[in-house]
Amino acid sequence: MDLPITRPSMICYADEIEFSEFLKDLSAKKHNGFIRITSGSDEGFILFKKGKEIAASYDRNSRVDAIDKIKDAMDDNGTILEIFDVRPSQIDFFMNMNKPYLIDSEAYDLINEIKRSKEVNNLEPELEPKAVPKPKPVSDAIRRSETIDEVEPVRVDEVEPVRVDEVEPVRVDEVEPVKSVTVEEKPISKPVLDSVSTSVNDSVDSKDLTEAELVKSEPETVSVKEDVYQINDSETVNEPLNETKPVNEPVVESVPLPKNLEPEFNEPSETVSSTDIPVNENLNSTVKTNEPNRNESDLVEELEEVEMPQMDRSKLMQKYGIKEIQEKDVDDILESYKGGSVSDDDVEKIELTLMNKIKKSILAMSKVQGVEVMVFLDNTNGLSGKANIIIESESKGFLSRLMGDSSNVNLERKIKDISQIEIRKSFRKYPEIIDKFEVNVEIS
Amino acid sequence: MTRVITVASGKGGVGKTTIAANLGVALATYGEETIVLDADVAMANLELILGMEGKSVTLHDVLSGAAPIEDAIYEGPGGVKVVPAGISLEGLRKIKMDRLESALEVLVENTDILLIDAPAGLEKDALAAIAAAQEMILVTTPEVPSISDALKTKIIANKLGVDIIGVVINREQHDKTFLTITEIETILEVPVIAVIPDDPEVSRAAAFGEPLIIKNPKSPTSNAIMQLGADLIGEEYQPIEPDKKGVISKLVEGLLGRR
Repeated sequence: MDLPITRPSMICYADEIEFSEFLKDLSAKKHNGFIRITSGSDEGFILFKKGKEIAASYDRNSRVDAIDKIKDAMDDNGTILEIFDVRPSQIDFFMNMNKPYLIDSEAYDLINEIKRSKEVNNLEPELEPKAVPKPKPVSDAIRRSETIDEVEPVRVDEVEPVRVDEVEPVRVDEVEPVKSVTVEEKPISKPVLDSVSTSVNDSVDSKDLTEAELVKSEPETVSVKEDVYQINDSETVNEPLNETKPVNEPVVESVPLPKNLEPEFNEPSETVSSTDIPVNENLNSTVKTNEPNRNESDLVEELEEVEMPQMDRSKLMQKYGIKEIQEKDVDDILESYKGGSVSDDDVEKIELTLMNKIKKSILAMSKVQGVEVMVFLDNTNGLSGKANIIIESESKGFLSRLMGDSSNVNLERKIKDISQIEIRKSFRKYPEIIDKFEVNVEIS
Repeated sequence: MTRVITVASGKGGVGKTTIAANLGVALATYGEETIVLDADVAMANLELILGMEGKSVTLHDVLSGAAPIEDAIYEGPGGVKVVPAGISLEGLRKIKMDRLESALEVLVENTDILLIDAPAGLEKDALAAIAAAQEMILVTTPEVPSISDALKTKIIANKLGVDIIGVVINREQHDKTFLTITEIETILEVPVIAVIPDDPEVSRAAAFGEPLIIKNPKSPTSNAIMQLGADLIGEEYQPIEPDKKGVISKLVEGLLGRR
């Protein structure tokens, strides 16, 4: 589908969410925008209008087929899911652009089935409801921690009152002059709104928020702080409460920074006015530190540090929802490449097994009294091999000897056939190895 | 000694083939004996980008054992040699990727640089293309899925003992909605060696079956790829400035027959 790819408002992996719940959530929130599903080199989209799915594509599929493929793709843990927000006024335009993908009643049936699937699962008494981790918005990604659920109850109780009490006077003092400088209720740039709206109140429409509202409204500013502490619980739990937060810690990123201070954007924003910086300095200082008296030079130093951040790879990856590849996954991929790799130890085992199998088969022949089998495998350039078989056949009568060796020829052919059958059985899935196997028979 | 460089990405549609084709032409213009091999046997596009479709013998024939690799080498634009993959599905059915290794052994005998355009993904054909090279150029767009896949490819390549020369960021748009160069370098832990701007001229050139650096050598994309080629072989490159003459002066010159 033709859709504008901008910065996603949320990124997560398929295994981090329950797809049915996710769709329901978007419906409930009356989401305007689209989601992108990336699985391997395949890409799919579902366009939403006021929370309703209106168009879908996946790879070369559209409508119900696309929904079906997307459903399958969501079963793959490596699938990435991104949410993109679009202005309601744009949705009709995208609908027109993507007419071939507009979904029909058949697709809605499938969507409803997907949405119901979770409910059906929940009805089963033996199954415990699976905890669905909340998808992480991009701006919140860095705050996410595996230990949040465990730590939160202890932390919030202990930390919250202390932090709020200590910080509040500083914020109010610093905020006051800003109110007079900002003068007008100027809408905050979108990244700021994203992080504020998610931390303050999910239900607040970010577009309606203004700087002045944030600054003036005391209950809201307090809740910002609370949320910041909750979000960073895993990091703060082991730290002294009054310790100053380093600039490049997640706390800074969770706090709305002006565009020109955001670590990911090095270029200064053209739209930043002189009033922007004090506002955000205030916000920074209230969260980053509990020290009541901070002089200007400290703030300048801090700002310099923010402008030239040392990027932390793990935090950056967490922020964008990129997973580190595990050693096991790499081995699995390479295993498939080799078609079942064979190590030198394996080669010895295969030689021994094959030797015994061939020997056993040949000994079952009536004319064979004894047999020695030697199997040599070569693993340097693909697996190839050689089997040398020495046969001791039963002694022939005088007449047979006079008549010649035709029986030996037959025996040799039979032994070769038997050996090759064993080799074929052992390497059934790898015909290229069978082709490279040489069998030599010597009869005494 | 022949350098075997794979152009890989992980995610499809990021511009591997375009970069491989144009880089091959760029290297050939610097006087390097260069072969570009399209290892994307399932979704071959190189021959379309270079305007070389419909060749009688292709890599499909080589990998199916029907022809020697020498017969699948063709002279392309700018003096670059090209081994097209073949776009017939019939040919695809018969191929065995195991034959790629022996085909490459022949190719490296008579060339300075062998560029391999790897398929997307990490299937057997993609891994064969990566494993066959000593060096790799990782192509990505500044988007999260593309970088996520590039990271996987990089790790696999490292495991296979392939040196990553660097990352080429394709379709860069000076847009803050995408990842910055520093972020990409930090995540991939590989230096960015070229940034190719998003350029509609690329699609236009592909439609004409002509490499961009020949069709429009003054474009920023052409300059970026020429610079990348120069950096790979330690050459100096002076970017070709776009024509800054005004429309009227061009019109006057045209009317006077000076163009």
